[in-house]
Amino acid sequence: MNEYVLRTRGLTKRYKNQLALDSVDLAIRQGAIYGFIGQNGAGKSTLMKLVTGLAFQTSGTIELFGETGEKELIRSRKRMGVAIETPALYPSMTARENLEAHRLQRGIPGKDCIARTLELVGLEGTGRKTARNFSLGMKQRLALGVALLGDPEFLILDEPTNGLDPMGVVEMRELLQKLNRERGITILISSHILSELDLVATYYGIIHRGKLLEQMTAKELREKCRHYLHIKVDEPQRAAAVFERELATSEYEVMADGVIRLYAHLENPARVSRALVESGLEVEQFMPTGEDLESYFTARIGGGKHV
Amino acid sequence: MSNLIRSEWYKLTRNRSFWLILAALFLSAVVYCFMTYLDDPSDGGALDATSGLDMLRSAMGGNTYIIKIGLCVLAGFFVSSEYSTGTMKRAVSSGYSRSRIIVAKMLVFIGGSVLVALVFPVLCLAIGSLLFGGGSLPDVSAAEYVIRCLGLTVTLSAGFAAIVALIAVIFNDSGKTIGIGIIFFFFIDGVFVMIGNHLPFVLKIYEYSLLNEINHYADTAMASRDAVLSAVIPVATAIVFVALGVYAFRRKEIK
Repeated sequence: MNEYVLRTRGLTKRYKNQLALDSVDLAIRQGAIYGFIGQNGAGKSTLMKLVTGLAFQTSGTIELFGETGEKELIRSRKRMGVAIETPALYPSMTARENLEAHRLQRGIPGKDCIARTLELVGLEGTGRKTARNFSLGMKQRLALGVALLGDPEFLILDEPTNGLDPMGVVEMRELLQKLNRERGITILISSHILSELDLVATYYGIIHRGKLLEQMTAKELREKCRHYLHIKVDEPQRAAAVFERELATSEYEVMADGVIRLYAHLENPARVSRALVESGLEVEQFMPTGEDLESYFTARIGGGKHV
Repeated sequence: MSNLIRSEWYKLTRNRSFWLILAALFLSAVVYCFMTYLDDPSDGGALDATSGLDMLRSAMGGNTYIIKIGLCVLAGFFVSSEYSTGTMKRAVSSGYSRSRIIVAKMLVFIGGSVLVALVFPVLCLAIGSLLFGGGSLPDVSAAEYVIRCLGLTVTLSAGFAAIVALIAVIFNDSGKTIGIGIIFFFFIDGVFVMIGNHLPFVLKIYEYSLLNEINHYADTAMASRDAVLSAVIPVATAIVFVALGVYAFRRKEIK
């Protein structure tokens, strides 16, 4: 079994004078929920289009399920489910008919999968209503249903929560987590709602102006975004002893420049400062610090807007 | 491949434009036959038919417009709309080669087009025969004429459908496909003739093209060589244009 579902090496896409992807080396491990983050036009959809065969790379290679040859890549795409950009549906067909057209195309035997899929995405009661008359949220769910038909091992979802109401967003997140947990489906998901990605992704990739700036696990991101009290005192070693003795915590780090990062008692900084002052220490700097995914992303791309 | 064809056929049978065109042609045939039946040429009427075969011959003339314009509309809503709805992305990423995907699409479109092209003449023949009787023709037996007309309708509509399908593959938009297709068929004969006046070989090409064949496909008197040419030229055209469609689609980026 391949460790990686998808790997790209030096993947580059140029549109006339514009470099949409610049030598991207991306790797998605089996079983990961890979949150793909980038501004509009950063290259997220372009990469997804190259992987799904909708567009052709200028240079570089794509490896899907360990396969790199042209024919093998096409065959590997049978193991994928895809929903890129707008929900791709036949507007004059019902939800059931949309799924049936896709079932026939994929050659999936039996019609049981249609009812199961409709139930899974919560569209079992839509009856004769055609996709044209669906809300954007319903269309998103149906597009996910289409992508799930045939039990894919790898899902590629571009902004799947667009148009969903808050409950829909929660349901989508829970569904993706369930699919990942119970069926072991690897998911590549891009979203503008970074707080939402924060709750679901196990890996992250940050792309900016066609370059993949960083890839990391959720744990690594949490480390990077970890909240702490930034403290600078005249005697760091004595302050450390105060933390151990007065606050009963060893969750701190003394940095080379003498700054202390205290990861405990974040909810009660007044107690910390009081303990330091009452111990006769001179507090030069004292501030809560740390980032969430959004601020980390913003900082990483250099304070950009329009995420 | 069979999965793709089954899926395309399923989509065609659920395509509203397809049924709308068929319904409009059905209604037109019924109205046309009854108008002809009720019209009296001896009392200033313009419609003149005395048999089912007359109705067929007359319908074949009008059917050239159905083949050219009707198929452009169908192509716009069956082929090009796949781009605007995004469903082409679904097909391309489904694990089939692009060649198979577009061949299946074009074959089913050609099949649907043949049905569209047959509705009007078949209904006119059937309703006309019920109203006037079957009738006969001086130069050819009734059976031979009917088989030849309907056979050439099948081959010619297949050829035209392949051309329109290529236009639909190239232009991602229903409106563009319909507009460009209609303009193309509206002017192409004139362009060939105009250029042919200066370059005789162009006129020769035109004479042996389905653009010219369709002007003669309902002739009562047709030599067997011409009948064979009328069948072979559209089929060859269809094969060439399907191949061009595959070539274009394999190089196309799906946006």
